[in-house]
Amino acid sequence: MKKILAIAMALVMMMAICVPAFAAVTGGSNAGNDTIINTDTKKDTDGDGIGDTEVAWYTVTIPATQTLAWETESKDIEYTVASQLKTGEAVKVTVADADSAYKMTSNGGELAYTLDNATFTAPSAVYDDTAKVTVKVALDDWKSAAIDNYTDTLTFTAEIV
Amino acid sequence: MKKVLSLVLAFVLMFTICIPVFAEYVGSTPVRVDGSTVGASYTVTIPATATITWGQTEKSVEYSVYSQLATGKGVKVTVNADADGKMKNAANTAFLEYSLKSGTTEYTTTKSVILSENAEKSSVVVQIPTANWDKASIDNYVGTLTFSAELTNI
Amino acid sequence: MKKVISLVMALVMMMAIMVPAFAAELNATTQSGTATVQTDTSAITGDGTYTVTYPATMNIVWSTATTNFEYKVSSNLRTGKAIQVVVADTGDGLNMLNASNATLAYTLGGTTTGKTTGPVVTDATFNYSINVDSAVWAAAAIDTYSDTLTFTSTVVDA
Repeated sequence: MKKILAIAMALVMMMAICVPAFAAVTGGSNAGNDTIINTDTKKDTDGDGIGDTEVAWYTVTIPATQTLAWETESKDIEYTVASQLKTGEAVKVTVADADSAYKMTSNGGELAYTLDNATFTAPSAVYDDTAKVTVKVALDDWKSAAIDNYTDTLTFTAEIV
Repeated sequence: MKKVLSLVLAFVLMFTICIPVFAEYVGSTPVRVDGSTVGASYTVTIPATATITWGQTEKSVEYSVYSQLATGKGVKVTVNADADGKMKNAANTAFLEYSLKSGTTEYTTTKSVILSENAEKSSVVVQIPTANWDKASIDNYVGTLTFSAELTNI
Repeated sequence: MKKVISLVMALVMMMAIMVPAFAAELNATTQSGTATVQTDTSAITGDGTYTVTYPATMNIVWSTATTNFEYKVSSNLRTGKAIQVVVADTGDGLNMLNASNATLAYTLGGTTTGKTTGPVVTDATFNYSINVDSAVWAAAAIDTYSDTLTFTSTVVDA
């Protein structure tokens, strides 16, 4: 009997020691255990830890001059498009003749041409690759043109869509 | 007469000299505090949100711990990032990869008793390399850091 | 050594000055720019190409006073150029000869010196004629007479 009581007492004393700790993670989101991290869409330029300058940018680099060798029926003009825009946005580039006549001219002569791929829209907001517009001159037009230096001006226009 | 007076004076003097001695008993009784039934406690305070400016490659997220634990016990805090390591935009169509800096994802307190006014502080560092920023479309990305705490021996 | 270094430095400075033409750059601030498209004729030698087509033989029916012929010119020349064609006798006089060297005099009429109107023509046609006077026919023994005409073409200024 005494031994049983002693063991019982020992057990009771052990349970008395196993007291659960009161624990808390406080201040967090959700159930209190989470810190939500989120990004700003502005960069911090003045070092105060707060975003102050929009970061969206794009650059379209176009060539100064493109030359077609005589009787070249098709010439690709490459240009580069680089961008980092907001999700869902993209750079769109449109190429057109400055005077809408689509004719290269020389001293008194004209050489008609057309443009293929005159419009390009980048496939994503973040993009860095080349695009091209194609100048096409029909062989008959070459044959009908006096041999000379013909020029025209193409206008490239970029916008965010 | 003189003899009587002198006897009286002597008797009086005897009383002045005879300081009464109280009876005392010398023994010992142990004084003991029993903390076995006292509940230990700790609190880890974390921020609800942390904002990272665009292009910021490291962001320190601070948290604090105070506790009253059994002797030899401390609090170990562990921080976990999103399982896929990606912050996401609201539409879940764009992602920004991030990681937690090695060495900052765990912290163990140095004492069993830490007062709230002197809470121990630590930080977990969120890392986003520039290359990850450069390939992400500009958006508001959100991720979740989960804090867990447990008792440990110190 | 100092002279060598100074020469090298001069070359390096020259190359630094020879800055290539930059392409234009469009961005949020500058949304439009221009590029020049131009033709290059450097691969073309001379003034271009042309063709003169003329009859291999000119048959004249006996007693015909005037027999008409034509030559044609097609050309693709540089701006400001044209083709000139001269039809002439080979230099032995406007006489057809038979096997016995008897002569049958004739004249050339029409456009014996033709010039295209511009650098680019397609089958520009020029008419000329071979004329034999009736008296010459009447005095000629009936035979086969022949002569040779030369077509000389040159690129000239238009």
